[in-house]
Amino acid sequence: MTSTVFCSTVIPTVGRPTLSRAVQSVLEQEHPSFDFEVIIVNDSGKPLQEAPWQHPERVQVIDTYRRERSIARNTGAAVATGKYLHFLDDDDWLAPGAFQHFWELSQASDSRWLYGMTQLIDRNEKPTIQLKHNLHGNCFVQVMAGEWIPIQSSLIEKSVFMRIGGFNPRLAGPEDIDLLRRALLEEDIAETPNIVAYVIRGEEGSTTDYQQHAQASRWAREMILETPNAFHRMRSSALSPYWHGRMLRIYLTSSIWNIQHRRLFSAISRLFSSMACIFTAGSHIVSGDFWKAVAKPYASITFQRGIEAANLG
Amino acid sequence: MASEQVKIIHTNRHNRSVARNSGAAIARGMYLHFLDDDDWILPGAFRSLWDQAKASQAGWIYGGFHLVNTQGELLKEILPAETGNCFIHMIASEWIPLQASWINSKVFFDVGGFANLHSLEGGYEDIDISRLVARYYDFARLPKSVAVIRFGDIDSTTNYNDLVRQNRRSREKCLDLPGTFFRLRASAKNSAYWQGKIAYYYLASFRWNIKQRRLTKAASRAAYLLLALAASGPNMRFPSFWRGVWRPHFNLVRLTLGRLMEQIYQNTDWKQ
Repeated sequence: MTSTVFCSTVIPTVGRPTLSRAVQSVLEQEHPSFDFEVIIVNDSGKPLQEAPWQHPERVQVIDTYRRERSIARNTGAAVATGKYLHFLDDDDWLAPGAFQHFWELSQASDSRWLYGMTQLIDRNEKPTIQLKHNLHGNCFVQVMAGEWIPIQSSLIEKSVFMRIGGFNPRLAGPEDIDLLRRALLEEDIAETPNIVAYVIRGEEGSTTDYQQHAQASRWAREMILETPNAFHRMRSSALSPYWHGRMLRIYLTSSIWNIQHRRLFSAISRLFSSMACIFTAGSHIVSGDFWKAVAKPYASITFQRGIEAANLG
Repeated sequence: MASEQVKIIHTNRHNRSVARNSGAAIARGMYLHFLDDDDWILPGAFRSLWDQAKASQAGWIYGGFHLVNTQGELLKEILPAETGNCFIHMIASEWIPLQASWINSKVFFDVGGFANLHSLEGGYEDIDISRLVARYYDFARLPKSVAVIRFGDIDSTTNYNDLVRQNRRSREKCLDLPGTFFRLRASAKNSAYWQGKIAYYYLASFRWNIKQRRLTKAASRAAYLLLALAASGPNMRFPSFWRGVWRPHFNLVRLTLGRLMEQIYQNTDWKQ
């Protein structure tokens, strides 16, 4: 076993009984090539029930005082010693061999956000669909359009997490997609084609969470669009007429939102960016895919693929 | 250290913001107090702050402070005067030290805690959080000293240019917040000088955004600059208004210390 810790799993919990399963699934990742640790952030405000998994040396429990997920996770990250951070929720669990897949991926790739396939589970704990994103390298426009890579299935290099300031504590709900977007503004991603996590999600293929917190998510997205290199980063991740169209749609919908919120100068700025999208798209604007992307709201390609595969199966 | 009131957590050499935010997350108090390891609080300080807290709805309660040099000798006692909405004072870098302050913990988390130091180019997070709190909440003041703060840069080298950049980063962030202009106007409280200062900061931001070629941002600042001038109306006839518009602001600590400031900060390069 190496002396440096490869990965720290941070599990915020409000003391649900499923926590044992989550912790156990991490402890079973034992492998001779690397070391890992588990940090349980008890945000319930009361002591956790005594359990055997609290004793191994690699498990640490810290208590935050009902501060919600983002703050609990950031606090867990601050005490973590691993090179990579992994965030699991107390009702989700890791697939056997997940860390080994990540370890192999980390040896083969320079990307600082690693992820794998996700098996979604419904509330009755029945498997629904599998998410395989096929996203590699710079995927900024894809995540800005609405692609969601679960953090349960991701390893984020700690230095990146700290540089971007961790989870935004003012967001409750879309904080994971916000983190993904802010990270991908500067970093590339790499995928391992194996199922790494089982994630519970309310409705099949729905975006319920996302819509419920649409307003907060919108604000967060606007802040990202304000950053100086957002346009260039998106431009270099748009490699087909479809994604050029998506990029234009992102700026157009943002200008409408800014007009509605009486942020006139921001709206003008977005309109300029929209025009720049059309110019930089070049010959792509004659493609039907381009205009289809501009006209329609985004429906996740990954979810569609997952649903089709589930129906066939 | 074996007291029940003391808890230790280990963060892994990240930075002040991460360490303080982590401490705040495990804290249970209604108010948060942030002390540095070379400063201390005066006897009876918490009692006085608590009395003030009970009598006030403010999000930030503070008292005065003793500035001491690195040998621990008293330089000056500072008693800031800001109360209520003091947003423009905070934007002008008036300093209400964390060591002498209690921040309501709900307020602290509402504004998102201390900013990511990388986003502020490495520092200024203490004044930044006072600005964020002042944008949304009022301040209450205790007219006596509660803390002792070491002052000086013998052990560190500060580059003034860094401070200027960090300050600007924090200020730009605040000017971008929705409703900032009206909160600034309300905090100037019909003082010609402070109304002039509002125009000063929009003007400074306008010029900076032009240099950065962020033209729509610059246009937005120009619009608020005109609004600030128009809204000042008859106050524009006072010389203090124009002093506010043209001259940089010296905060209370700098005014009180005067020449002493340069002696204390021997290692700081004040040239821009």
